[in-house]
Amino acid sequence: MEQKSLEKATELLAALLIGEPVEAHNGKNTGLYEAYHESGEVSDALDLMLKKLNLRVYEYNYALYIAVGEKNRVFGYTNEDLKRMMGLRLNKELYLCYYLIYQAAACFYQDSATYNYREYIKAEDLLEATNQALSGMISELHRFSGETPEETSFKALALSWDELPVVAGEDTQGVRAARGSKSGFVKLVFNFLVSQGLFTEAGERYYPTGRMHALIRRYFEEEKGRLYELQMRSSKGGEDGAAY
Amino acid sequence: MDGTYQMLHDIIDFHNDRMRNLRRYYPFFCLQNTAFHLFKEGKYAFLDMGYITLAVLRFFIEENQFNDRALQYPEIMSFLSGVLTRDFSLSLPKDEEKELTGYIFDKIKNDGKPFVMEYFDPVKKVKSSVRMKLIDATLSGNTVLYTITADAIEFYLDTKEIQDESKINIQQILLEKMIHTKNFKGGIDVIRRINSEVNRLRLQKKEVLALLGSNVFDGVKALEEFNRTGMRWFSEEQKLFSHNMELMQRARAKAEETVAGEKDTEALRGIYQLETELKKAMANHEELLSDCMDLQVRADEMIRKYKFSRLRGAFDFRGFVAAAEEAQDVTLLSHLVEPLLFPKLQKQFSLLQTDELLSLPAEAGEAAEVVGEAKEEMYRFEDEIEEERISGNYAAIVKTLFDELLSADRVALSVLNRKLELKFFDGIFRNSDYYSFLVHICQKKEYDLGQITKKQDTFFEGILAKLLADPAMHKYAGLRFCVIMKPEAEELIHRIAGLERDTAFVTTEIVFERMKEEKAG
Repeated sequence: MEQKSLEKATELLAALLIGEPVEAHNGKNTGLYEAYHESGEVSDALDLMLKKLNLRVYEYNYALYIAVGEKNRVFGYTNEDLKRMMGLRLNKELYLCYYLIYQAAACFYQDSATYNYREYIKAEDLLEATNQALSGMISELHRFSGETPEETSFKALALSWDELPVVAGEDTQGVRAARGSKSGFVKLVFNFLVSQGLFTEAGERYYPTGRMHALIRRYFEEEKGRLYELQMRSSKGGEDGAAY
Repeated sequence: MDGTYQMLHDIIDFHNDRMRNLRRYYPFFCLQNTAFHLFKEGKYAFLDMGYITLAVLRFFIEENQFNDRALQYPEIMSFLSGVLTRDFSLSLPKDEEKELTGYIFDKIKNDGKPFVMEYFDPVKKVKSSVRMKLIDATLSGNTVLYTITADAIEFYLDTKEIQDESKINIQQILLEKMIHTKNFKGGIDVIRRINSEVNRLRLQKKEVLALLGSNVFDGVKALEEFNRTGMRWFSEEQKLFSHNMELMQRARAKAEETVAGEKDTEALRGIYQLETELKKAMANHEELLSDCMDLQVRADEMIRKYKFSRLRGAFDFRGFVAAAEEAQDVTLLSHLVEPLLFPKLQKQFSLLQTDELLSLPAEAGEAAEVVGEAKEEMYRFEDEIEEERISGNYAAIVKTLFDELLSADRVALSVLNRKLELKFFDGIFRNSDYYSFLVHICQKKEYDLGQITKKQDTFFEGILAKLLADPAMHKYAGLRFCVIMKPEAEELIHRIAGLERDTAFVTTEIVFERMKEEKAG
């Protein structure tokens, strides 16, 4: 392999790692994109390096995006890391954020191949979608009192969502990203998603970015076997509601 | 305005009715909350009085209504002790058990007093109260017989039995009774209740649809529930509607007959209003029916679509989350979220440096910058440099001129030029100092070098005086000469290599003539 190809591949890896856009049509990394695309040596070298680092690269709409592989101890996050990044204190708050992120993605994708042709969502859309999704569980919790659910259960998640007021204070103007209310949580999650390059905000509307589309379509497409196994293992007796 | 009036009417005028209905539930919650806390220092607080109360009521219904006999104290006691042993695994000594069961029954019958619920009566604007007894007691000979009250039966049925029935049907039966008793006004109220129930079902239908959209599993469960509680009554409801309509028509015909004799217009108006309301309600009910058909169709469609999407080769987010929900494990969500994040890049410095940071003593204060003694530099200004150059050039030319004058008495400029050309090559004619020298030297007609050192008239003489101060120039001291300008026709053309003939530099001829020294003169 030529020294030059290796250099290009390393440059490309560095650009991807620090989160610089690598696109065909704009940005300073156009040359790198072309090198990846045109030179087999460069793409091979990059793929090799990524594989060894347990990272993945996905091409979508003339741009390259990086993703972290499963259980990556170098580039992956611990719960503590994520809580620190989002300004959370408890694990159950983090799980709630996970659920909100899932709901935000589900507003656009039912599965990795079905795009809903929705352009953007607003904070209240996400709030409503989450209410809707948890309503069954919440009404069940209202009807049947039980012992305190485990921290990692969906019941605990539904309870903590149900116990939050919609807004922290009626008289305050605008919604602050905070843990005290449903809308505060939604804002918190959106801020995080924007910081992760998954959404862009314009006038309180949140548009999914190319990165979001790329990862949803490609990563989950590629990893569906592993995730499906996980799903089967987790569902009791592997039945997984087979009736439907 | 009408709306507000209606609302206020509902709030104020119906409040007493609502409170009377609510009173049925009041004893239950009183018992549930307070019963055991004060008995034997809360020793039996774990017993659930709500459960015991409902059990006792059911026992009374069984005996009073179905077996048609009143109960005596010992029977109730033995039933209660059965409940305590069976459901709460309580085995107590006879005395204590007797005491406990007695206490429980006293509480349920509230020591024979009714439960009193106080509330504010907005019509009379005073504090009012409603009463309710669960158990009645009568004396028959020497024994006290206990029976359940009608309110208690209603309360008991209300907790489950009536919920499962179609409310629309119950109201219809009520309506039938109203029509029979010619209470048309009451009938309108009943129809209004039917309408609100229909509206509630339509709302419920929307919720089911929304749930289907977000989660098929929950949606299907809700749909089943909706079918069980709402839709299965449809045909019966329809039948009752038409039955009531028939009744209405009969009532109208009857009223019209009477009109011919006694003119019962009041009843006729009531019937007319009721009929209109009933028609509206029927239309409403039909709409609900078509809504429900629509719901069924859409639900089937959604389920089919969901099934289809599960067969495709794509990763199904909803299926994954549904499985996680079933397993009650939220941590699985991290598999969906974490791949979306940027790689974690930790910005950190080595621990060794932290160590150094801690062990390194901080300096007390910042050291001042050391400023060494600076030497004053000699500055030479531009004009000084210029002057130096000029006097240097002049010295060279003047020396040549003086040497020529010493050897020959007359020196023409043309001769001098040749000498200069030999010495300094033709570049000298490009030098502006050469021309300025000529200009300067022509300012005076005569020069006496002996006098110049004492007194200088021109800038040129100043330069000459400085030159003569040099010991090497002493040989020229005492030299005297005059400058004779030749007519302008005598031009000297300086050929300079590399320049065109036209651009040649031109001067007029000058002759320098040595004059006799004064001593000799």
